[in-house]
Amino acid sequence: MSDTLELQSENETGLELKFVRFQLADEQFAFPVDSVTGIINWREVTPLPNVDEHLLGLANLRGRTLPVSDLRVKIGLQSSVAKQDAFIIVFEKNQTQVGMLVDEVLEVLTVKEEDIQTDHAESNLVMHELIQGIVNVDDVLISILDVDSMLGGVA
Amino acid sequence: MSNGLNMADYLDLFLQETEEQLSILESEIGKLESEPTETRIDAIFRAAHTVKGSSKAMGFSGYAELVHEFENVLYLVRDGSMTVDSEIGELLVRTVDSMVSGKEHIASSGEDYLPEMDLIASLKMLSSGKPSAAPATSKPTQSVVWPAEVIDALHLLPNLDNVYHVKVTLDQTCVMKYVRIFMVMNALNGLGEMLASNPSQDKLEAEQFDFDADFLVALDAKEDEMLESLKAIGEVSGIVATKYEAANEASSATKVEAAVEVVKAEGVPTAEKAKRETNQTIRVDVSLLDDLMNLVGELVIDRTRLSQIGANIAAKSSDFENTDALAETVGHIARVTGELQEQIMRARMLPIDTVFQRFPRMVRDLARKLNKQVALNIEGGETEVDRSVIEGISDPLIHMLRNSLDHGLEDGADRVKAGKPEGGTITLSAQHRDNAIVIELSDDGRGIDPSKLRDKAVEKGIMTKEAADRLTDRDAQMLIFHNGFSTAKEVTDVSGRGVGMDIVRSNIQAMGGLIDLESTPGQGTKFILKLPLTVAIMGGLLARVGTVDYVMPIGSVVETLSLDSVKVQKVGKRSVMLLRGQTVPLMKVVEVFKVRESFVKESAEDYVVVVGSGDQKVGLVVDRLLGEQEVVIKSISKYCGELRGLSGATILGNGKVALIVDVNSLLEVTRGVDHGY
Repeated sequence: MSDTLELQSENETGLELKFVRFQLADEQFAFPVDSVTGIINWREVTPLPNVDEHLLGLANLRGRTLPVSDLRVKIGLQSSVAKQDAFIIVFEKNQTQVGMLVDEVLEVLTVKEEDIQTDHAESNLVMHELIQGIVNVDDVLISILDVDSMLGGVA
Repeated sequence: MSNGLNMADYLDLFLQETEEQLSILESEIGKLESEPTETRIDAIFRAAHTVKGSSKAMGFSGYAELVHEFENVLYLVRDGSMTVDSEIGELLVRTVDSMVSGKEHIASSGEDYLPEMDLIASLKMLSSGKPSAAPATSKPTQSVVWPAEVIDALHLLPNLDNVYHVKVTLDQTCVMKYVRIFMVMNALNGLGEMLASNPSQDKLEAEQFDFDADFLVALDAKEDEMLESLKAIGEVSGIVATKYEAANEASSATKVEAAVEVVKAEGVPTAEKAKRETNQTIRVDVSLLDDLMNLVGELVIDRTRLSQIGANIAAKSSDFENTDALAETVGHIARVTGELQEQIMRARMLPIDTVFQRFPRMVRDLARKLNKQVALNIEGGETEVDRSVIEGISDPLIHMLRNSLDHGLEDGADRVKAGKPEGGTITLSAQHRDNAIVIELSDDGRGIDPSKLRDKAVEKGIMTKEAADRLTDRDAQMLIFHNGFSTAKEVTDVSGRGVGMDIVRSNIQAMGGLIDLESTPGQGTKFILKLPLTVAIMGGLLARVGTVDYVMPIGSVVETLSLDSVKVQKVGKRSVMLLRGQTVPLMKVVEVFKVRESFVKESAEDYVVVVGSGDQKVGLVVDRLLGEQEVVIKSISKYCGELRGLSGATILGNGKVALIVDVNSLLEVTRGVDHGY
């Protein structure tokens, strides 16, 4: 109960949603906070053979194996160079955990639902599928990523 | 029921007990027609009787009636006045089926089950004219001498008017005697105070008594009430309650064998205690054991990690007193953890009969359907295996048995033509061998014809004619494990959708096991399954390639060699080595498991790990050997897609994730039937 209260609070101005805002190359993105179970520092991964390029490998997360994807590669950007300074955002869906490597986690962002533009045009097709909407915060455009299509394989 | 016993408490016990008895019935009833041995009839009888008794105790009279009618038919079988032909056999099997669904009904609703009327009628018709189950006659009452302490204690009571001597006789067929006696004692204590028993409580608990027991009780309730309560308990065939009279006790002094002890007597001789402990069991929820196993798995990882950290500290520190103490403590923890793991594994063990016992019935039904004569021999059913193995092995074995019956065994006429007995034989055996469980399933059928499989492989476009011709007979036979391969001419509803053996193989692989076959055309086929003792924890050989650590299941490692010591030859594009006269294909792990370049350091490729069994072997070329270690198997998330050649991952003592190699699929690559790489 208290979770949902924090996530969405109805007031006079409309529905407010919360997102984890992060940096990827020179762009900013955000994930809905309710799908995120944790944020961890970069840790060593064991690479898996014959897998998609974005899948970096398996990391040890408290005794469980966590698949980690390079989000930059996943959305069609150049692979991160200095992974040691990067962060892993951990998602959980259907009891499966997946980690996404991002450059830097900035803050938890509160946005009014009405401020999210969903009729965005993307030149990049991969991006178009993954992006749920765009929000403008203090003249910075933040792309909101769709977790379901992000974790595609798990469902 | 107003007998003072809370039946809800007993429902679970009833269901568990009934389930056990029903599984006996299910496994034995199918064999009754072909082999109506006395032991078998008795076993069926006992099981049915127990079910009847406990359902009556629970007040499930409809259900009890079904079992009762079943029992009536069996009486006639037992005394020889009825022979089980296929019609009667069928009816009995149907009755057991009905008992099973009845139990399920009770389990889900908590209410009595009303059996199909026509079934009851058929059973009644069979047994009509004959007397129904004769009530067990009670033995003549034996007098009991209560010991002096009890008598003394009695005289401390304000009055002796409400003290009764209760003699309870159990059914001769009662299996869990103590459970019944326990219910009796519970009932007595609910109605007053139980003062003493003969035999003593300890002896009762150890089931060291025949079928009757005496109790001395000071009743708060009325005598009638007590009798009602006791009668409601299942499998109690006789209750005699008499008012206690001191004079009685004094006069009838002699005929008692068992010494009587005061109820709360302590200090049982240790030898007797030890003996008792061996057959004392409790029921534990399976999920509890699973949780324990998982926790121990975590502990095993931390144990390894702890000893590594300890060694690191010892190397850097000069505080010898404490590092020594640390090493000693860590050593002790390691021992205790090892022991704990072993004990919990043992607690999870079940005889493989748990799976096997369903098969005679299944084989019988199938044989009838296929119009074949089949004898199923089961050996080593008592072999104990982990629960996880039991769960995983059932479906593959069912597939394989069906295949043997349907495709393996020829029709009776063909068999006679081939000079074999008309009836086929299938043998299923289990045994422990080299820290693994080996299950073998063999038939004396037509065997696997390699040329047919070659043709099929070409026809299905799995390989070219040239490639198929190059296969050895054995490799061609192994094609039956290939995806989408069924050589049966027609698809039957028994087997033959071309998925069976493929699924069998992947199920066995998923458990970290190996499957192999030996088949001689015209003589028969034998499948050999080699399974780990447990699926959750596995012994593994650790090897490093580049920066990645791989675990090879220890059960499939044949030997390790230094690459310098073997002679590598090229056959076509493949590298092979000669191992004591056997040609073993070599496979570079770094090439099979292509990982991202940044992870591949300079490959040293110094060692060969030979994995597989029999003539199915492959040499894996690795950089370094890191030694043996126990690992806890973790599945790899579906997010990673299908990972050919890996069966899972594990976390090592240093916290690093290692990958577990799936030996079977690597063997497949060497057979050239897989294009997955």
